[in-house]
Amino acid sequence: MEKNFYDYLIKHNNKELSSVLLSEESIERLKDCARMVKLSKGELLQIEGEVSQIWGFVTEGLIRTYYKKDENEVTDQLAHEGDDFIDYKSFFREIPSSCNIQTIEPSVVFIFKKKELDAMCEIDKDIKKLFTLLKKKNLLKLKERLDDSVFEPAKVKFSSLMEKTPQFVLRVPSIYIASYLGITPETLSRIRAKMKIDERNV
Amino acid sequence: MKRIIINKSLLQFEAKRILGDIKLSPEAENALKEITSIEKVKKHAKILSSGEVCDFIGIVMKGLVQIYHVKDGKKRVSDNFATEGYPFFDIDGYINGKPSSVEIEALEATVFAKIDKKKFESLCEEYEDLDDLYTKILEHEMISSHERLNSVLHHDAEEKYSYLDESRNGLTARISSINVASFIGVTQETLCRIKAKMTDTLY
Repeated sequence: MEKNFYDYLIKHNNKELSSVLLSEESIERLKDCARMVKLSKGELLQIEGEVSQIWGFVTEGLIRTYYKKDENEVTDQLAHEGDDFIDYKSFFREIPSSCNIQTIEPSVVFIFKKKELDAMCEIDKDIKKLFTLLKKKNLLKLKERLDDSVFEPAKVKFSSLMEKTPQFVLRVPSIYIASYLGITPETLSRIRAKMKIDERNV
Repeated sequence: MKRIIINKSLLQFEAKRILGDIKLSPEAENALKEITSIEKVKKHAKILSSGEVCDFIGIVMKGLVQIYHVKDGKKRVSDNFATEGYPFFDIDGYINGKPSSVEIEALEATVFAKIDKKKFESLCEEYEDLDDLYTKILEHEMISSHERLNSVLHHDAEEKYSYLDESRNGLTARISSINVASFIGVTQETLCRIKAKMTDTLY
């Protein structure tokens, strides 16, 4: 676990960080703005109905965002060490959210409050540049997930998840994984059973 | 592609609808106008082919553009549509300089603003307003990709149909049923049934 957001960036976003030069002053500013929040398992960081104020970066643990649809919960985003999470529409457009943010494991998260982040970017252009790069990184990951999802069969979706983020498969309850992939829990368990048989036969 | 002269305020007006209230200073607006070409293309014209590197941001002023993947050498899998006021570009190419995996085509006779990447990037260094515009475009792409992802994963066919219609101001009436079916991920027969059912509910 990293003690401050700058160390977190070095560990997980070195590419983004190396293309902007931050002065000592900027680094201090960045550290001050990032709030480190320790959360227990199942704790809620955001409740639907509020305007989302936070952009979070996971340094330890596991976070999910979810919303309710026809009495069911839809797991929308999953984030583990090195991932960030944003309630996109609510955060950027400042409209009430329909999504909840909750920990799956005890977690430590760096939180940026929108108002404070905006104010910091207003006075510090290098930090603004850094956050533009972090937005690009987030967008590319989102696009990749979209490409992996559009009309791919369930088995292909699960295989790409195993390949790209095996930690999710290991640590996230099956029911959330199924929802995250947009498949039923029954289909997921069939795929997993089939994979086990295939492994044995190899 | 032919370059035509068009009222510069049109770009701002159209972009405003989707990107929010962007107030560009007259200097920034003029600088943007200098590097923006207004392109007029015919129906079915290819704006970007797969394999090319996308080095521009397009904003539709009039008409309609489709972004799609080619699957198994022939089948069109629709990624997205851009109507008046919407930006369009191949994000991976624009950000990382990678050859495009998508094709971009005009589905109607289209006029769009084409903003050159290299020139735009250097202007963003110079004018903060333009840097903010770029940030808005990125945020718009994040929001719309996220919405599309949730539609793909969690909507049933009827909800996908409504999403396509509502999020793009009645788009279903402007594109062929083949394209609608591809976007929703159903056969044309299923699409017919959905439409019939939705009409039933209305009347």
